[in-house]
Amino acid sequence: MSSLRKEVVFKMNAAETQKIQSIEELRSSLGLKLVRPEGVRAPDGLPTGWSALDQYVLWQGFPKGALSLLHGPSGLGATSLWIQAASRITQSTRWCAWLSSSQGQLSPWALRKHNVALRHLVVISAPKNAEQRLWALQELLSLSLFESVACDLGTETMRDHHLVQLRQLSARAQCATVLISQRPLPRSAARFALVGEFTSQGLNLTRALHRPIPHLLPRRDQYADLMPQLTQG
Amino acid sequence: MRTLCLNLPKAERPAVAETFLAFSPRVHYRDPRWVFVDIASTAHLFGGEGGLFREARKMVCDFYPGATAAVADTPAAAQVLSELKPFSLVAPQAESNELGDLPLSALIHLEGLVAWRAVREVESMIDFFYSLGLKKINELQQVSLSSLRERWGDTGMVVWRRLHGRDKQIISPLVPTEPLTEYMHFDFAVSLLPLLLHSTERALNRLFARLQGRGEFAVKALLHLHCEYSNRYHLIEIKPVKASRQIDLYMKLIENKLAEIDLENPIKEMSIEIIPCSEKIQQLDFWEPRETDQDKLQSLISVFQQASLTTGFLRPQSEIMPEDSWEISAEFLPSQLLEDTIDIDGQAFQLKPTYSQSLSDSPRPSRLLPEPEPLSPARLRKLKFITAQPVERLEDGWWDTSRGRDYYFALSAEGQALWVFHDRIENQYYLHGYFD
Amino acid sequence: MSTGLRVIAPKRRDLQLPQSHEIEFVELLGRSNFSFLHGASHPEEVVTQAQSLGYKGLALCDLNGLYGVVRAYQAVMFPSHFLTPQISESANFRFFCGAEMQVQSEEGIFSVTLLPMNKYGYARLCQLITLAKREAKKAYSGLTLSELCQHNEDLIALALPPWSLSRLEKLRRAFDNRLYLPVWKDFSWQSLQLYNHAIELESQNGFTLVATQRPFMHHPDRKPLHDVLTCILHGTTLMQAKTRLLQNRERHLKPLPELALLWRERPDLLTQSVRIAERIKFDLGELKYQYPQAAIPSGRTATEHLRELTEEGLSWRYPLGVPESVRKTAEHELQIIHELAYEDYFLTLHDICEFARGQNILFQGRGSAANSVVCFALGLTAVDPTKVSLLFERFISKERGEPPDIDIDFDSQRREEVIQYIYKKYGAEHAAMVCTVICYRSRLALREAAKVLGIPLSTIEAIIKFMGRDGLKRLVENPDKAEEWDLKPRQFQLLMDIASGLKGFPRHLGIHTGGFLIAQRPITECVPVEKATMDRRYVIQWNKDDLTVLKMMKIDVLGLGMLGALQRCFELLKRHKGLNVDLAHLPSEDKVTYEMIQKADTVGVFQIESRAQMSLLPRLKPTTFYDLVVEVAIIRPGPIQGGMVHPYIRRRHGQEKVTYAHPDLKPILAKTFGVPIFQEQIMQIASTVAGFTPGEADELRRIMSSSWKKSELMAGLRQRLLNGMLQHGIPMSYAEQIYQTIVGFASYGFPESHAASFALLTYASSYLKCHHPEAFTCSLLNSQPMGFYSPRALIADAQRHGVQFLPLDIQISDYDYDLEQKNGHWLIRAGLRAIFGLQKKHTEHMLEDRRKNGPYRSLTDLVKRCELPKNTLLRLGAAGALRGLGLEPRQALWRIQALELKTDSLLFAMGREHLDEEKDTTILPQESTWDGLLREYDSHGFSLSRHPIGLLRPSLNRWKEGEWCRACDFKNKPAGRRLRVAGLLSMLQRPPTAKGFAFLSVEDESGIFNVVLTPDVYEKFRLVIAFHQLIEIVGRLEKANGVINLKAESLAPLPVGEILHLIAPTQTEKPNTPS
Repeated sequence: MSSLRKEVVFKMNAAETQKIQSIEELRSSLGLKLVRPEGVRAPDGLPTGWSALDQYVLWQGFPKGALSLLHGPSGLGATSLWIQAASRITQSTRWCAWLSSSQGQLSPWALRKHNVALRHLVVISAPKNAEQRLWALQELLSLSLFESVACDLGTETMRDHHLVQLRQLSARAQCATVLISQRPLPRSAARFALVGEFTSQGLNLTRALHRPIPHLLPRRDQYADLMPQLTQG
Repeated sequence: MRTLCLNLPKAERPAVAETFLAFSPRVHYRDPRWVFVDIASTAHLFGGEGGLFREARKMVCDFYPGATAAVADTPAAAQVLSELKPFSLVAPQAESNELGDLPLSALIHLEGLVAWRAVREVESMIDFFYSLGLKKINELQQVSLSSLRERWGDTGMVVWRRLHGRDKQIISPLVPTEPLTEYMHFDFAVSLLPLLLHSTERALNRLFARLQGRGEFAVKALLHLHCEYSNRYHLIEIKPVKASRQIDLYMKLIENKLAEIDLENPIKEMSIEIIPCSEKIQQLDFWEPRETDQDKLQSLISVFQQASLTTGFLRPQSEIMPEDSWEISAEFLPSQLLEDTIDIDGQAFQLKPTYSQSLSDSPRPSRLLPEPEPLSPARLRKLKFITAQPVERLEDGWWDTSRGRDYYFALSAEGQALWVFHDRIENQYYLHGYFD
Repeated sequence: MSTGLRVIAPKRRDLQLPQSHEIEFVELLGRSNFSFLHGASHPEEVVTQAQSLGYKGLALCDLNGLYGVVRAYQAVMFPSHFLTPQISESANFRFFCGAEMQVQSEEGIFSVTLLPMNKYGYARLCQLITLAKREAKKAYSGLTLSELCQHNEDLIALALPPWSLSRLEKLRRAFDNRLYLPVWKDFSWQSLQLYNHAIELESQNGFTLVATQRPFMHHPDRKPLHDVLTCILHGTTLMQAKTRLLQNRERHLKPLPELALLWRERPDLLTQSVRIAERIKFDLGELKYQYPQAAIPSGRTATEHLRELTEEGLSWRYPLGVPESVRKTAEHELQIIHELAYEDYFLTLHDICEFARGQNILFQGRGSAANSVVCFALGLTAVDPTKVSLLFERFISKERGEPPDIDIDFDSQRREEVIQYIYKKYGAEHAAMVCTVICYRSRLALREAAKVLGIPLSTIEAIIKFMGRDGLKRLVENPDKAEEWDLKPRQFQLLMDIASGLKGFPRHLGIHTGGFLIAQRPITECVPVEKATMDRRYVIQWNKDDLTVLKMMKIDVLGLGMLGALQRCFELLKRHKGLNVDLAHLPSEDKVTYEMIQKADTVGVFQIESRAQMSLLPRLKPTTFYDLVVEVAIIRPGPIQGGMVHPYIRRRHGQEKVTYAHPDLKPILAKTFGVPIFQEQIMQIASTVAGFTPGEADELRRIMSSSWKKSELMAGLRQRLLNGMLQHGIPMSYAEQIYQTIVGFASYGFPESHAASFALLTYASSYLKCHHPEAFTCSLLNSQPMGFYSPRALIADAQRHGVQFLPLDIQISDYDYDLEQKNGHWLIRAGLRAIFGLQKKHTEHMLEDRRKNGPYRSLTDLVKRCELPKNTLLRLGAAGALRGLGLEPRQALWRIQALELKTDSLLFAMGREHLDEEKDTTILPQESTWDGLLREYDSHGFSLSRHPIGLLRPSLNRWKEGEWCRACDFKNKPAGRRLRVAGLLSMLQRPPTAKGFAFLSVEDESGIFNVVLTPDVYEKFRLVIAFHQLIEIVGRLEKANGVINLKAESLAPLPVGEILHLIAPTQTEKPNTPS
């Protein structure tokens, strides 16, 4: 499966090629030596649809079988990043799950805007406490049915040994587990394969395998088509 | 041929006939509430028909209060007598003049094992005879078979035969097939042990009476106690050492088991099932089902549901207020949002508009706060409102709790895209969600 | 409507509002509640609100129709005198009419609002609506895009969203610069999206936009009512309606500053609406209406033809020479008719009446037509102007300029022939019936409101039963009943608000009983026509009030049962007695007839047979025709509520001095002894004494004749009337009495001419009852169901007048009752029509077969010859009609049941087992007289030979001692005497004006008598009356100037079974020989 992936990554259409200059320039400007994907056996990734992120990260998206963390104040695009990834998954009739927190619920309008097939998205309401959240995640992962499981921590945090268990489980189930929280988890950063912090300037990648970090990706406005319409109105 | 007819007060399940197997193997149940027992051959076991009748009457009265019974030659006459002259015992061959002095309308009940094919036809026959001035059944018995057959065809023939007791209806022996289960629903949830025991005992009595009739023994009894709140249930299994038919043994075992469970979550429904065996052990079933994706998901959802985590698929609802505009449903159903209904009649049509059906396309934040969060004036001043006029004005429910909100888009200092509304009744601003 | 948002908070930042004077705006998409269940305001409210907000104008475009257009036009052009004028500044407010057409195209259904630019555009719009509604059921319409594009000249089109470019291009090809795209902003995301789409269309495809508010109501408080209407439309409750309702209350007429704020960045769209309004040059007043030219013999003008017909008519009416006064008034009338060019109207009527006379359908003109000598001459009406003083101005007056309104009554069973004749003669294009608007009455409004609130059906029934006839006020008065129906107080309050809001809203169109609009040019040019629920009937979208506003002439073709009865009586007299009698040539002022009327022996007579009339006749003692006219007019809610009846009677017999509240009233009220009874008199009082201007007097007349009364209108009228009277020096009490009469008149007022034409029929029917009772009763029985009494009461009354009846017999009876002569005097042979449930087509076949090949020899012969179905045979047998074949009723029934009726079977018409009757040995019980009576009552409702009380009479005192009084010996019993009577209850009456009193008419074998029940007695014995027909009454006798009543104290059911046992066995077994 992973060998097939190699050709796919570098066979890009015209729109992508001009992006390459930017990556080449990036490399030349930074003068860094990036490890090319075929140089190391990279785990598979779930493409997120944000081409800048997909190009930069080794796994072209969220790492499968590993933990990812997106943190930062809500309203800056963390959820919609995972939603775009989920829309690709659900369209090819594979399953993904969302575990919501007590601070917010997912609304069908946003899912429909990124055209997620609701038939393949399972939504679980907010668990009462951390233990129940861990138990729920273990149940979800042990089913080995889901491609990606997202867990919205809201303002709470997760203890280190829980993260270790999660990592083993998602590795065994080859499922991309994404945690979204409003507070960073500095001490247990090592547990995650990918960590991104959302700021008003954009997404600041603070941990990505074999990639120079920290790396700032410029912010893209998800709801650009919404806001100008309003200024006219 | 002597028939005992039992007329139960309300509709019962066919299994009820098995209770009366104790009196004679020949029992026939007719939907909805009649049981006919042929007691010609077994009356002598109870010391004559009177003894048997007294026994049957006692049993039927305490199991089904309000039931009536009667004994006559033919099932049809027995049914009429149980309806109009309850608990009467008619001497053999004295049936027709017993029927004689009943009013003409009693004809409707003259059915026996086979109900009237068309009740309307019988009723019109009765009206016709009333219009001819006949009042009693004995006047009807004078009319000849040929006149009845001439005017009402085979219904007339059946009427004549049943009037003169010449209708051959044979009650065949009953083969018990119905499951031995009793179900009870408590209107007021029960949390006192003695109350629970009392109703269990009544149900067990009926079940053991049927066991007696079927001549079988109870291997074990399963009690399902469904609780009132968050559909928890208790499953109790009572298995005496040897299959037996003693009711008090079972009652003692049940009492011990019930004493253990805590009843603060009161019991709403209860079902008792008895696994019978006629002295032989039954075999088990070895087939093991394969689990598909759907089954895995269903089991996951049911496990989560039990841990009171609502799980399922998002389903948009056509509601005006954003917080009610979707629900999580256990299995996936395509979303039926309300649309304009158009009735077509030939060339013409009538359009019945659904005025705010486009609410499902209007923008909603991807992360909606469960409770709108009031904004303090300080925080309000920090927000930058994109439009002076409200983007959407939603008003709802003037008939109970009326709600009126003006929705705006706002940008916070950190660049977060917010969804803020101004409640026009309390004149207070709330944050309702993030365009995350 | 007090529900809804409590206090709406002030705006967040009050932006500076541009001044309202420089903004001009015309709302082009106004909608009233005449888009049934889509709009929530009356047309008048929409227009007055637009005027008070200072709009330049408003176009009322209802869904698929021009239903409410005339009402709005009237509210703008002729505001009512009695409503305080709120509208001050906007003098040049313009009202436009239009329609929102729902059109079907491939992509689905969209709507286009069409505004006619001129008269031709209006005609085309009417044709379009007719095209859409012609074949469609109620509330349905079927217009296609191609049809719309064909009829597009002189029409401005506003294509409503959602737009598709292909469709807009098609519309633009048809309408080119007359096509606009309306946009609105109602704080909904959809309106923003549509607005952006419109801007894009404007910039890329060059369409012109116009601003509107797409209003569904005139004021935001009507949003709850609009939600209720939407729920009714969808048939759901408020809780389940969800997104079917509007998401906010912005769809109303907004003040100009608010509009300016909304459109501050595109104010040109607001002014665009004014520019469109300027292109419209059409006003409803321009509708010229010509009456169709009648069929005039060539070479002569309409006036000459009319004059000639009038001369002919006068000579026919007055064979001994036309009195000079009549000739003078005729000349005066002809001159006015010529001036106003109404000749064609009269000639058309004349033509219709000639047709009716040709088919000898009896007819008679009534209403204001009876005031005209010309109509009398043309034979339209039969009121002789010499007998009754008539004023022509009441019929046609120059200054009022309103068209004449003539109602003509035809025999109700043959009215359909006249209607189809009119359709055939003028073509469905030129003649259509006027519509009536069926509105929500309190009972239905409450039922719909409860359904919308999700209240269970059983509770609704209980509420409605409690409400009874006094409408919502009874519920509002005692809210404590709410607990009884387990409604929370808030829910009950909501129910009341919604129900009172719904009252008066139009629900759908119905057909006016007989109003016809006939036009020279096709009718669809001046008003759209749609299909009525009854087949073969087409109805216009305006009702009779709209027509009078637009000065259009309508004819009323109404039905009257009594005319048919009189016609049959004349035929019977001609056929049997050879007398040639005609309605116009009855001997007038016949003394014997008046004596009969004075004795109140008027069962079956037209108009004066009701109990209330009967109790008044002995007191009034009419002796002249004018007394009859007063008698007919006086028992009406008008005079009763005005308290005019008793003073008139006393003054009529000189018991009271004739006084007038004011000398000016003397000339008006002289004829009726100073007591106002007729509508004309009230009108004259209002104009002379209360100082009403002709316009106000005319509006008063319209209020009195229209059944729909608006509360604020009546309050204004009361104020104006009382002020006028007080200024004129009339005491307040008398003025109040006059006002009460007007309120009473408003519902059933009787003009004098109207009463005169009815009085003629009353006189004719009482003359015939007096001189030819058997012919009169026979004709009455043949035109059932009609009138106040059941066939049983009519027969009993005739028998008391010595008329004998012959029982039903298959060999002799026809379908109708008929006369038979037996040794010198006439008897009535009962007709087969009396039998309940017997179908006419079976009997006709049987009778015609009997005429052809003689009487039937036996049952088998009858069945063989006419193949009657089984239940028809059973019904004939039960009625005892088969005695002619030698079969007693019970034998007949028994035998029929055994017959083989399948025609193809070998044993056809014979017993299946017993080929002939002899061998059948079953002996049936002998039928007692009581069972026979019950059988006859079940079969045809009366028994010719005996009366139930008569049968029970012998054993009554054996059942209960004491003296049982009979109806006939009430006369010789002293007043106040306590009596015990047994009777058969035949009629119960509780008129609303009788304040709870109930009146029973009870009959026994000797006659009919009236029983009066005081409210408490009625409440106590209500169940006895409801469930028992044979009752025992104990009460005191009351005798007041010739009227005998029994004031009941207690009622009890007669235990028939028990009494029958007491009857000696010999009596009942008497074989019931045919009498």
